[in-house]
Amino acid sequence: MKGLNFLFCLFFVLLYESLLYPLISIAGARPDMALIFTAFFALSYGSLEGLFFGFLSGFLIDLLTPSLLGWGTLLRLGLGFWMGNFKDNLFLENFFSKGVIAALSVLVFEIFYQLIHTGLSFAGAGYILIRYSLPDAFYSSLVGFALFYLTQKKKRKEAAAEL
Amino acid sequence: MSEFSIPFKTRPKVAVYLTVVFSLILIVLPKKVKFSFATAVSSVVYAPFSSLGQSISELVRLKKENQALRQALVKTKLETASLQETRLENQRLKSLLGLPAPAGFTPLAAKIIGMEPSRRPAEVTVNRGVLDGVQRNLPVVNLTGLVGKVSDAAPEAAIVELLYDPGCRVAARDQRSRTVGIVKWKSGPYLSMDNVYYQDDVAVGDTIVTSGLGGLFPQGILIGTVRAVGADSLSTFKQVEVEPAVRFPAIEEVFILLPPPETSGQKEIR
Repeated sequence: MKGLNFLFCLFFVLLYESLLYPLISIAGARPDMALIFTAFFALSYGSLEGLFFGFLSGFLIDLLTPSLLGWGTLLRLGLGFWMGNFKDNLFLENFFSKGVIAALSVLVFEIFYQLIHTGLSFAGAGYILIRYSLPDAFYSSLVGFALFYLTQKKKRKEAAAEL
Repeated sequence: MSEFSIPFKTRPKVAVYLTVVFSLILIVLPKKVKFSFATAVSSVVYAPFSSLGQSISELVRLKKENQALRQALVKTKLETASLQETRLENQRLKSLLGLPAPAGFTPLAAKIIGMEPSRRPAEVTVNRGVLDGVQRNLPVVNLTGLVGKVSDAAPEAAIVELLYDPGCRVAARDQRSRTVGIVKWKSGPYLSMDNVYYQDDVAVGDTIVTSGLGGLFPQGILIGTVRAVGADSLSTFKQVEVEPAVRFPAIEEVFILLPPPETSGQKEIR
């Protein structure tokens, strides 16, 4: 099941990056689905799963911006690994906390990525961060909340059925 | 189905090192190599999605275009139908202009604005009335023959009693044999020519026209053709069935024959 989820999410990331994102972007802001799924895998299965999903999704997305090839991959795999450390934290049973972790990871990713993109120009990166990254992080957190809420609900149902 | 397993699950450090090294290699690659590598891989990975996207946007565009074309087609069809109707009306009116009016009468073109929705209408309403000089009992014709007479006239409209009206009687004559009679409707789809004596000469195919003897209709207006002649030896009269020249359900324009102004003057002199 985990493998199917992994492949389906990767496929969805490809579909989203190539086709779907204009449909759900609001005033230029769009959720970072790759990082949301990375957070999902990291927080559901662990660091290694988060690392691999971050690595593969980052690589696939980096193909669309060849000048920054590798940077997105590195940042996403790092974030996937980092988020995986929260997996066994009891506090993270709450879907809200998971959404916050996902939003934070989007924000961290955006800060580093935009700094690299602008050649470490803080002024340029600052503008992009305020104009795009913060709305992206906010939007991602909303989508993350929804995703984690649904998965939590499903898990509880399955647990209740087992009992 | 076997459970999906992450590579290097037992040795996570190796996985981290490998992925990090791969990323770093990508970062340090020369720009040219990066471009060619990214282009080559993305053309394989993203090709199905981009072609799918193109197909979808093409479908959406085609759907919109199809809708616009359908709308244009309907509009054009309506315009064509309207033009066709206008052309036919123009043809009818043109031919009506050439209608030979009986001597002394002035034809007044009138459009039918009301008709009973039946196969054999008995009366119609026209758009001419007293203000146009229309009055009761004026004969009404069209290009093919006698239509009827005005039975009532309002200021701007008039009611025309057709030959199929049970109260309409027309003094008629057989154009060939000069036999006279009275044409009226009794029943069925045809008219009947009454008062034709047993020995009078009326044959199938003869043309029946107005005789002018009744005083209402000028003589010589076509009424119809004899369709059947019944001769009962016990009866004084023949039963003559006349097929009207006018196709009543199809009439759209008619001519009301206005009497000459001098007629009223002559009447006054008399």
